Amino acid sequence: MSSGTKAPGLWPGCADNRRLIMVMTKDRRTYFVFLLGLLGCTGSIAPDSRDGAGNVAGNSNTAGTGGNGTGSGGATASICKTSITPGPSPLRRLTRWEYNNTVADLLGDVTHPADQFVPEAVQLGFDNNADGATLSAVLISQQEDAAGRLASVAVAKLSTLLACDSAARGEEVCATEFIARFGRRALRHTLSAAERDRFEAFYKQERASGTYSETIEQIVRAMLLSPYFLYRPEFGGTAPDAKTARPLSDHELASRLSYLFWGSMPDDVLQDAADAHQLSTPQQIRFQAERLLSHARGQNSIKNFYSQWASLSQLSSTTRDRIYTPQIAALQQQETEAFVDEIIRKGDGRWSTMLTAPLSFQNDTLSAFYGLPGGNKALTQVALDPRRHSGLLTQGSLMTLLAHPGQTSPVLRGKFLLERVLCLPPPPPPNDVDLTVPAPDPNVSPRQQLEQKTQTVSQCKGCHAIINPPGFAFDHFDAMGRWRDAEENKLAIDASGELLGTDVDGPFSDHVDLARLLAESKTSRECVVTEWFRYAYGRDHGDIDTCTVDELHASFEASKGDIRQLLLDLAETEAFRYLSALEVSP
Amino acid sequence: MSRFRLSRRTVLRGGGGITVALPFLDVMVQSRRATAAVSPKRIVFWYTTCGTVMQNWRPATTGKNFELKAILKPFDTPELRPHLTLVSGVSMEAAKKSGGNGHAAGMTAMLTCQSYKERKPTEFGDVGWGGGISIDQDLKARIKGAPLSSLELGVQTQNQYKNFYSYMSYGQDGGSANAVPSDDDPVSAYKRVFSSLPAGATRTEIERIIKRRASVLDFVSDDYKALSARLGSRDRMLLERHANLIRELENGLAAFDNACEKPMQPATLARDALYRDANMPAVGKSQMDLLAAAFACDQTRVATLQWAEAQAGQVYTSFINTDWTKQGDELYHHGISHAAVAASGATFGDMPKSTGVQLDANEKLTLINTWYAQQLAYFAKKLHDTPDADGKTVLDNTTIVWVTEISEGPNHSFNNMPYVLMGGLGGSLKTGEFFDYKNQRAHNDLFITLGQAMGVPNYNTFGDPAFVKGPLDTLLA
Repeated sequence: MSSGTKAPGLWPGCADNRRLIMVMTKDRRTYFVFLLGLLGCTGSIAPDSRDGAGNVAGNSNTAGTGGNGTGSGGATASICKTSITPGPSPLRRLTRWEYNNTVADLLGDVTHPADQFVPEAVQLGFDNNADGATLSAVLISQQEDAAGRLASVAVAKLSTLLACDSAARGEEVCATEFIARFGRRALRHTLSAAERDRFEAFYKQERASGTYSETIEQIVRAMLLSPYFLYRPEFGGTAPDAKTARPLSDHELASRLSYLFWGSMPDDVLQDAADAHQLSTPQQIRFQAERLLSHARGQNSIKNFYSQWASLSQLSSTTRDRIYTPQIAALQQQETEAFVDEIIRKGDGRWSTMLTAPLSFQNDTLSAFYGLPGGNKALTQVALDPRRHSGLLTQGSLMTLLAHPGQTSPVLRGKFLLERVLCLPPPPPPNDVDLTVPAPDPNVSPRQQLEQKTQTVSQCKGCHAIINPPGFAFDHFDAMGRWRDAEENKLAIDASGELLGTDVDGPFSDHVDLARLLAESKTSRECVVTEWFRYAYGRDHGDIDTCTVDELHASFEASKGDIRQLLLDLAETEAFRYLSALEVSP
Repeated sequence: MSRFRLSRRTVLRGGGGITVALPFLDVMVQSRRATAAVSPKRIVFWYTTCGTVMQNWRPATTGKNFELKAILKPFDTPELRPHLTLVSGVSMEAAKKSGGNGHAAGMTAMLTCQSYKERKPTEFGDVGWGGGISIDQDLKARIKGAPLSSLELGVQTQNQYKNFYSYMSYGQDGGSANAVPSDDDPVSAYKRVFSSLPAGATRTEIERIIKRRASVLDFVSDDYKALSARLGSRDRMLLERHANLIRELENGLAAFDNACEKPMQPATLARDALYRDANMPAVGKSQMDLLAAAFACDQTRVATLQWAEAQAGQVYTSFINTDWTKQGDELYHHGISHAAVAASGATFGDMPKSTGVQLDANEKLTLINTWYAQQLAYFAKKLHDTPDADGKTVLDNTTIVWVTEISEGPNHSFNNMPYVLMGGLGGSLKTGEFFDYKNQRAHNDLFITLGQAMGVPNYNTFGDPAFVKGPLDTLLA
């Protein structure tokens, strides 16, 4: 892998000298030590009287141990051709979003019952990480409640759920048919004879004390609580020996594909392909992957990914000016979702286009909110002024979220850019610094105030020399994402600065200029691969994934950063198609 | 099904008429009396973030007759004051050992008394998850008798971070996999407490519903066991835990006690509305009312009520009446706490001590903490107004333990944690006093004391044993 740009590398020294020393002991990071020297990142926190809460005391450096993805590069090429190393495949549970999508496809229920479940923990920026699927008594109780309600609503329309004339053909015949058919969809595999027998025995047991319809309801309920519904268990097919990676079974792969692209269960076409063993070759998988991505549901994961990437769901609970209504919040979310889907699925798919395209999706209400000319009742693609608007980065949603009530936050904006566009997250501020933004001053611009504050305090200035400039670049957007020509106190805006610590360092005149720089960044393209890897596989990449990540990077470079291509590639890697030999204990 | 009884309301209203119902009423009253000799003890861990303002919390004198400072004034009522105990000079040594980000170290050690597990570098610094089981989960395993072994309620706790800042409870061994979330949704929590049973159903109907649900749970828990046997160790443990939790739900259902008056089901709020700052008071009230009802009905004996996440960004302006707007709009909890001035006069590093912003921050933070004290007072008063089976009040047999992840914002200290105890656990704890342990004792010892006062036999250690000295004897009655 060609990385070396892994996140923790850039930063440790700017907050703490002692970490800097630790970094020096890791040879491949000496590059960053040199860099830090250039930037004048100082670390002068003395291990003072703070009583243990400080970032300093007892804080042995562990930055190196988290260095996933810092593979050793070219030396692995030959290994990659001779052995299959898929990496771990931790058991995935349906996220709340996936649960909602799945019951919509399975039962036609669009009430989003899982919205009421306790949220997953967010790991590495996404809620679908396998380690974020925490289990609790509360969740089990919520799942049982939802299954009960869904089952009862479903059997209220029994003829839709189960097209079988029980009067003519007999209840037991119909129930047996239902178990096989509904079970295949709900449990996402063709049920074995033993599995069917179990459900049929359960049917008989329950029928003794309930009506036919009540008994079908019991079966639906049991299936909605089954581990094959709530989780995606994978055992794989056969391998020559216990030490060799095993290909996933056809139905397991069908689920991986549909959850990757749709965040939902496989459709009949995919399940039929699985039954016919037509998900075995890379070509067959490619065929299905392209079908899923082009399908109307192909927008699902793209929207979900960027919703999480930008924390769009927080818009609805964001406190701003009175004019920032729930309706505006919802429209801003839809605007960004429509934008990413447009670029990735209908446009050229390129990350560079995502960062720069001067277009968006608005209706009259939203246009009026931004002070732009309208003319569209429904959300419609609109061309924006290319001197003002620059793709994803100037979306109203992002500008609103990266602000405080009533004032913008260059710090949040700069931090976000470094963290989620470049995968170079800055370290958090020390415990004992004042994080408040200075109260507005009629005679000083917010930029000058913040510069003054972060340059005065020695613990702040090292990192903020890097964080602040890309944040200042967006000063033309207020705390609700609207364009402004001057600061709130009428002073002129200075959006220029210099990008530091990246592979595209240099001065920029404003946010549009900055976006142009970022659009050229290889570090940023590698960041896109890292983020999508985490989302697609529900885990971080580690050393074992070197071959996979190298392939993904090479292909992403070759396609000039085409995210559509990246998604299809993610469905073709060995990590996606195989289970590591270590997964199942004998 | 032996514990199954009818609610008074159900009896009088439903089931086909009052003439059928009256005989049941006698049975019900009798069964309540039969268990009435001893009332259960109950404990609540009540969390708010970002510590306190020590100057406006800590009384000038220890012992009895201390004078309440501003933040604790809401407890200065004839009903509550006798039940109030303050504890200072207890430190969170496990959090000190974790180091790094103060809020993360504090939050993860606050109820576990253990240092980080799974420590690794993140965008929040080198941080980890709770290093072991939390006190509430440990006690729940030792305190039997109620259908729900514990109840974890939250108010806007799973929104901003959804990580180690958002969880305070942990199951056995701690770590991210065992983090126990607080339920932020009053409707979901209500259904859990009252087992999702329909209002107005007859005894026969309810028995049948419970039987059918239990039958499904029984069927699927076998699926989890069979499947887990075929998986690798990580996934096997996960599904075994899932199977155990299904069994726990099934047992709770079987033990469901419908003998008391249910409160009304709270209004449904969409997920986004649950997390609007302005809705915090309403959601909090629903949760407090539910918890009070759960105690009155003896549905649970161990509970947590978590207000927001560690270093939370809630903006309180919409419901705490004050003229904060003159300070710009930087009104969120965490930001204010950093700008406050510690009791020692400490501010932050070499930050220039000019501006006058800092004193205002103290005032603001005092207002926020006072508001939280008002909520605790509301809840305690509610318990005080509820008669218990032994003729005392529910508050008499309860203790509410107010915890936070740091003692003061400016220095993120883990010394002098500002513990408020409300209620004496049926006379097991001394009340009406202020105790200062001079930072010679770790919070492990406080929790041991509470476990002993709850009546757990041989409760002599908790958390990291390096910090255990034994119970705080002077606190025990």
